Amino acid sequence: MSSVLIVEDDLDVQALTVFRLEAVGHEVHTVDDGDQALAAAQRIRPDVVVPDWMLPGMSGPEICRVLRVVPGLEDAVRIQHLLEGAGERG
Amino acid sequence: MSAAERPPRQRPGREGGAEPCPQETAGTWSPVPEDEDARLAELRGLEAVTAPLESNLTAIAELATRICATPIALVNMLSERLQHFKGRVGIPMEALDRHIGFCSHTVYGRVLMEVPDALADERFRDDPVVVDEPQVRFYCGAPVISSRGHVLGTVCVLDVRPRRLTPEQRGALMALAACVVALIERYHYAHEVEQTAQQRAKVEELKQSFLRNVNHELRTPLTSIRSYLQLIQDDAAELDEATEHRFLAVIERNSDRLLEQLDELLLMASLSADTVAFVPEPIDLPALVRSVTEAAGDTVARKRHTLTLHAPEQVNAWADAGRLRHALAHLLDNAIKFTPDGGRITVRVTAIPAPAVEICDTGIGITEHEIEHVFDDFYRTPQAEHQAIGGIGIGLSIVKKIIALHGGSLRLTSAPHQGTCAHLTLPAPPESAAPASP
Repeated sequence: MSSVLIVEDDLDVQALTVFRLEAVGHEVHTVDDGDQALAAAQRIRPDVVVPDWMLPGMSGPEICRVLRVVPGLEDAVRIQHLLEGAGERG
Repeated sequence: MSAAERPPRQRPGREGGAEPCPQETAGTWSPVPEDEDARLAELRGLEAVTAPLESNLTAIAELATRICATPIALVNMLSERLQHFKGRVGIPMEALDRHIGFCSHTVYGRVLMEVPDALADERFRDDPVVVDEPQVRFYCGAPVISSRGHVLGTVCVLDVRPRRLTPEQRGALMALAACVVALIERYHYAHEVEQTAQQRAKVEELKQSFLRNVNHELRTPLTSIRSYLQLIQDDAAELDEATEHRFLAVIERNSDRLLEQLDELLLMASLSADTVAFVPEPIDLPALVRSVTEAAGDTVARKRHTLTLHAPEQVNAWADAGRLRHALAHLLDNAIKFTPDGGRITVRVTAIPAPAVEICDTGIGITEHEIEHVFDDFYRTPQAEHQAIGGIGIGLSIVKKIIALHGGSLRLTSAPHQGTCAHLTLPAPPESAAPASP
């Protein structure tokens, strides 16, 4: 059981991810804008952060770069959202 | 030559032109070639006057003075009102009124012209360059003839004493004129190739970003559809009926969205190919605008915008209701999308001087530079890209094309962070058309 922060601006995809993760017993938090991700991560201190690739505000890769150097969050596991097309992961 | 045989006269200084007139020349005249309009068009097209070829053309003038042993030589381009000494030796000025001197006669005549003694030639005896400094007595000019056959100017040599050129010298002058054409045309085509290459690079860039956006816009709803389908089919998920219905609704909404995107792409293609159906009729503009604003009600509420509609009782316009509805819905959707939550959107319908609709928002706005491009196919503003605001970049170009089909006009005014206004005008129904039914 982990706590997970989802950063996703498409609300359908967000709801689906929440449903899937809660179904297997994780504690799930969501924000729908890249700029809210950092504050939410500092507040929640999740085990895992799952940002979408293209987002309003900070993009997924930017969120990963920033979170990597935030004190206390260095150990948070970060996974890039896998729902986007391979072509966008250039 | 008697007065009756003189070629058509053209007196300078009668029409207002952009070119400066460095020397007052009342009373001088010179013949105007029959192909003058086409000749001037080619001169402009080749950029013969503006091309930065001065050093090359001065080298040609230098060769001309050496070969012909004259103190003065020119490579001269004849524009509407001036002669431009693009290459020059022995003369300080860079331009002169077109009708002074000898060259306009060479351009008119299309063949090498030699004037052994200007004082003995009634065409030139009173010319300012003969009477005053530099008191020219001798002239020989070869026409610079473009590949398309227009005389752009001359390569000429001048002297202050009467004389003649040898046949070899005349031949050399003609050869130099051919070199001038080659230089000018080469410069022009090289310049054109460079511009085409730049344009191609821009189009390629646009294509890449278009493909990226289409991929994102089509894939997002498709991803939702597939993921929710999997969830419903997954027995282990054990969904209750209400949840399953909710999920089916998500699938339906995303299919609609996918279909809308594809319709939009097809519409763009048919508008670009001029194959779109277009049936204008008299329409009740306020009623149509009202139905568009009502249809956007949910989206407006979700973003907590305030939408106000000002419309008179009846304004008749001449439009294809379906197409116009599409265009207006798109403009309104843009206003909603590009305005941060809690903004104000004002829609105004007016009848005078022409049926018009104005949609103003308090959104992020766009810069003047972007306004020039927002109607381009596939263009997306940097903000739209950065803010991951959805879209393929064809909405506004579709709107523009639809309004153009109507014979109406569409323009945007905007200031960054203050908002954007779309001003749309439409034609009124023709007199013969029946009035719109209410």
